[in-house]
Parts: sequence; C-alpha cells; structure tokens
Amino acid sequence: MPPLDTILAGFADAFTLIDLLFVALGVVIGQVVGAIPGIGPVMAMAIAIPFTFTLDPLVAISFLVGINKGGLFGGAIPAILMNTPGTPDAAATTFDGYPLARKGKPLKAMKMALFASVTGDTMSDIVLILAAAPIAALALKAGPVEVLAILILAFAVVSGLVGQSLLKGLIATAAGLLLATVGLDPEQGSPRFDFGHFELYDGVSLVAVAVGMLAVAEILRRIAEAWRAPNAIRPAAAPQTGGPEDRRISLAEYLSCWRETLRGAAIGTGLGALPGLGSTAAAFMSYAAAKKSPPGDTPWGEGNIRGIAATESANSAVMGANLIPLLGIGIPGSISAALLISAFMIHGIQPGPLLFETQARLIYGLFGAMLMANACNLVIGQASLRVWGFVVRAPESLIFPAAFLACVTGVFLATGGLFGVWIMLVAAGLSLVMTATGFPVIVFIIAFFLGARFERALSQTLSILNGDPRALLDHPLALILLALSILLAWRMRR
Amino acid sequence: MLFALALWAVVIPDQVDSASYGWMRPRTMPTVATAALGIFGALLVVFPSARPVAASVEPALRIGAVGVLAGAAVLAFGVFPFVVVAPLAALGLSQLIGERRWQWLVAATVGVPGVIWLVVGWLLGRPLP
Repeated sequence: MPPLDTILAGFADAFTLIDLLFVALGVVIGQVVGAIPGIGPVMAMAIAIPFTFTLDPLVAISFLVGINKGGLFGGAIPAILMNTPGTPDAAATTFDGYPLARKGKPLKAMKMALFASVTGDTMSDIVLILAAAPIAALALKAGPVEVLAILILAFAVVSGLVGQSLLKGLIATAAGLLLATVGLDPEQGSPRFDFGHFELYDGVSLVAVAVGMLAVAEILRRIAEAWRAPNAIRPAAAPQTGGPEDRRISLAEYLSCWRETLRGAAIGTGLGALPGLGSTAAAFMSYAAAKKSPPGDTPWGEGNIRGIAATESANSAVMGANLIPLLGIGIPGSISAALLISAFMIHGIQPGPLLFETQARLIYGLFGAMLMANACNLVIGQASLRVWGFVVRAPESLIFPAAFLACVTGVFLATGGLFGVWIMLVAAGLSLVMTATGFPVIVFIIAFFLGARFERALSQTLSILNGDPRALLDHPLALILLALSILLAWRMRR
Repeated sequence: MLFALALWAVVIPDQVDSASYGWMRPRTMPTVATAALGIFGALLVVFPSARPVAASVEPALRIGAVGVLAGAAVLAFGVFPFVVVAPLAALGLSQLIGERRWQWLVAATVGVPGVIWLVVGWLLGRPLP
C-alpha cells in the first residue's frame, strides 16, 4: 500500500481546475456519443486517445475516463426516448425505460437512469479503490512463471466468455499474439515481419489497431448500411407530458429502488472484475434478478422505475471494476480498459501491479478523477437531459464522415505519418472480416495488447525452468493456474 | 490452418532471423503463435462452430466499396493538403449515406474539417495529414 501522503497528493492532483475541466469535457462528449446510436464511448475513446498526446498523463487518462463514464449513462437516453439503445449496455434499459417514456415521462425515466448509473458507478469505484492496491501487492509476489500462468488463464477465460466459440476465441488470441511479434525482437533486436518497412521496427501501433478495429470498422459498416437504406425513418422520440412530478425523481422514489440499485451495483462490480464479461451481461442479469421480486404498483416491463435502476446501476458498475484486473495484474477486463492501457502506454506508463510502486500518485489521481467524473456525470446529466434529447436526432450523414476524419487525423497525429493511417484501414478490414466470420475482435485486441508482456514472461520462464518442464513442480501456484485454465476452457467450450 | 501453414513454411523463414542460442529466439514467439493458430484452426475444421456465419456477399461488397472510398481518401491525403481532401472525403461519405439537405452537407463538408483544422492545426499546433 502506498504511503498516505502519496495517496492524498494523488487525490489533490485530480481535484485541480484543469483536470476538472477535462473530466467535464470528457463526460459531455461521452454523454453525447452515448446518446447517438452506433457511436458509443468505446469508439469515442479510441478516436480521442491520439488527441491526448499533448496532455499531462493524469489529465489525458481522466479525460478518457470521463468519456467512458458519460457514455455509459448516455446510452440510456435513446434507449428511453426511442427504444434504441445508444450502446449495447443500455439494451435492457429499454424494457422499462421506453414504456415509461411512452407514458409521457421520459425525463423521469432518464433521471432515474442517471441517478442509478451514478450510484452504481460510485460504488464500483469505491470497491476498485479499496481492492486494487492489495491485489497489486499480491501480484507483485508472483514471479515470471506465475505471471505467464496468469496471462494464459486470462486468455482462456476471455476466449471462452467472449464470442460464439472457444476455438474461435483461442484463434483470435493466437492471431493477436502473432501481430504483437511484429517489430524488433526484444531479446536480440532483430526485425521481425517488417516486410521492408522501417516503420514496423517499433511494432504495429496500438492506437492504429484500436482505432481501426473499434471505430473505423464500425463507421464503414454503418455507412454501408445507411447507403442501402438512405431514407430510413428514425422513430420519433417520446414527448414529455404531465406536470412537475412527471419530470423529476423524488427522494422517496430514489430510495424505493435501493434494493435494485444495490443489487445491480454488486452484480456489475462482480462481473466487471472478471475479464471478458461486459456491462451488457451485467444489466440483463440485474434485470432478471430484479424481476424475481414483486414489481409494486407498476408491472415489470411497463415503465417500472425499479427496472431502470436495476439495469443502469449494473451496467455502470462494470466500469470501475473493470480496472481491478487492469491495475491489479495488468490485464484489461474489457475493451475500454484495453483502450486505457494504450493511453497509459502512449504516455510511457506500463500498466500492472508495479504501477502502485512507481506511479502511485498517478493512480490515486486517477481514482480521484473517477469520483469527480461521477459527480460531473450527475451535474451535467441533470442539466443537459433535454439537450441530449435533440442530439439523438443528429443525422448519420454528419456523424460518420466527422468520425472518419477524426480517426484519420488522430491516428496521423499518434503515429506521425500516413503509414499508421494505412495500418488503421487494414485493421478495420480485419475487424470486419473477423466480425463477419464470428471471430471475437475484443479477444484479438486484448491479446495484441498483452503480446509483448506475454513474450517477456515466456522468455523469463524458459530461462528460469532452464528447459526442464519438471522444474514447474517448484511453482505450484503456476501449476494450479494452468490447470484452472484448462478446466475453465473445457467448461466454457461451445 | 492454411494461413498458419503458409506462415510457418514461408513467411517466418523469410521475415524472421534465425538464432542458434538462447531459450528465447526471434522465431520462438512467432512459431508458438503460429502453432497455436494451426492447432486451433485444425480443431475448428474438425469441430466447426455450431452457429452459422453471418457473412453474405451483398453487404460485404457495399462495405468494400466504402472501404475503397476511404482508401482513396487516405491516398489523396498523401498528395493533397488536408483542407482540400477532407471536405471532398466528407462530401463523398455524406452523399453515400444519401444526404441531400444542403445545410447538413455544408455542416459535414465545411464545418467538420473546419473544426478539426481549428483544434489540431491552430489550437494544438500539430501538423495535419
């Protein structure tokens, strides 16, 4: 555990005006992009990362956290207004959110979503703050053999949980690891897979791959869809009717949802701490759990605010908990955590348990920024709900060309030339092919991000074992983890 | 599986140096990843995924066409300055989506590149493509 003065200094770093401004800007961007179906916070984070180059590391990462947190709530806005979730996480919010909006109470529904989202998120952040440092301290006791076993376990879990089939997940993992070998060999410095391009000596750019696979692929797909049906009519947003009571959530109404909110936060935090399980699963599980209890005055699925509280607290609680494996052992639990990794690395910071030793002040600054982002989410969300109601109607003809140009410019800035932009386009093509054939893109990216670390751990393990597999018997924890990997993979096979 | 075979037989020998010392050689990690690709690929052939693949020709062609337009834009960025290519690229993509309302076309072709130019070129002082 870092000394108290370092922790306090970190929190003090977060509560500065410049950090507050960037967190607030991130939250605004997150809520806007979350409110636009098809964009979402992941794409926005991927696009924003290259633009954070010039910022201080804490400000840059706080900005990205703001986008993510804002986007988690923003996704609920079109789910409630138009029965179209802005992000997959908000799909379960449509069950009760849209019926409540159809009753003429969209503001009430959105405010419940906002309060539950902020509550779940804050609780998850508190768990992160309390749990990450002890886990990191534990992880630091692990040697390279154990680290290699942990990475193999993470790959097995992520491959099994994400996507349609375990085998496709494992193939995506192998492909991600293979792509990570491009560039100079870390042991002997000889180039690998450079195909005559010196730009590849440093490896394939994380930013180009992330932006290409997550943002550009989606932009190209959406443009192609819109091309086929250019005059598709969007459903009209539900209008607000009724008096002041229908526009707000009273304290009594908020407190009446305490069980669903707390249960959702617990489910979201639990699932978020496991690599690969996303906020969509948490929201659906929380809603299913809520439906087991009596609905009260309004039946489930007919505009019950407790249903909204259950889903929104759960999907938002995933975000903080996702950072537990990232900061504790250096393994991203989700795609947004993987994007945060790339932001860390852009600023020369290696994520993992050592962060609490070498960058403790930054980490506690990040924790402070996360709490501040929750407050910003609440304040900005309250003030802007009516405005975001108009944003959901922004035309795709403006959104997608803008997003494409932002991707090109961002990757150009990050990689210092058009070569990176070409890599981005190739990555986008690869992402589209993988998606169409059922190979999980998320698994590929996580494996690519962890490839260098995996190779280092493998190299150290081979040296320690000196080529003798029996030496593994001296590492019982690694053996247990490897056995667990095989067992979990076997149980999760599809 | 065939891709893994091609990597193992042709690409790795051609693109990665061999070394005869040390536990971890330049070819070790690529070979491990390629072997994993080959083994899991073979298993997938033997035990195919139960779920059908969603790929079909027509959407793929449309996405390919949009990709070609995006590629042409990137190619043009290498020849002409941002202020020339960006509005044309935005206009092309907007037209592809089917936008015909002049105010949105102006917003996409003038407003968006203008904002990027202002933020990146003027505010951040960084070079544009």
